[in-house]
Amino acid sequence: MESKTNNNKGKRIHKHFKKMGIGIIVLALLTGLIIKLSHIELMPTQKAFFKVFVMNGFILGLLFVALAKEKVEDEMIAQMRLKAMSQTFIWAVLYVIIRPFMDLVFRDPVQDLMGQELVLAMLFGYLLNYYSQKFSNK
Amino acid sequence: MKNTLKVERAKLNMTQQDLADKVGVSRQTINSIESEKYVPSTLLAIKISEIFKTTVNDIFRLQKGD
Repeated sequence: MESKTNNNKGKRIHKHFKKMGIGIIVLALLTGLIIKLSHIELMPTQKAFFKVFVMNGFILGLLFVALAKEKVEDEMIAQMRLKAMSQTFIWAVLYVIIRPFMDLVFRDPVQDLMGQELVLAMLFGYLLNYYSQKFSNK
Repeated sequence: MKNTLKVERAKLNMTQQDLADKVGVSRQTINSIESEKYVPSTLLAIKISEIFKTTVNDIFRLQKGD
């Protein structure tokens, strides 16, 4: 009996992408750490390039982890993903509202919120929510 | 929602993994249903009842407030 309801099997990538994603995150982290700790003199354009490289590496890695299939992709997993996604959306909206006020308190003046920063926060929020649900159900 | 899944499983001497394999879900999903943390879809409830050759109502029962 094969049904299309409750399975939500679409738009998922192979489970091996989870390991690949973790690898990309580690690589991005190491690159960032090496640049920070080695005190290499970088030109502003090089600095900007490495910042984009590290940030995008992090985002891509997290995206791979978020989209990778579980060993058994069933209806409970689909429900957890949906719940994590909807809660992350609400948190993202609150983050966008609250962030300028945090800037006012801690980093005056208020800085523009970068798209990458928001996407990174959303991916972190989604994965934290999803895995906390998953492990509390074990 | 209450269920007698554990009892039905014990009658057939079946493990959570056996049942999970038969209905095509993970063992964690069966465990969550048994511990009443997760309410299965109609489709999964019917699949489970078919395994035990009984009706959905015999396994799953509504509680007050459901």
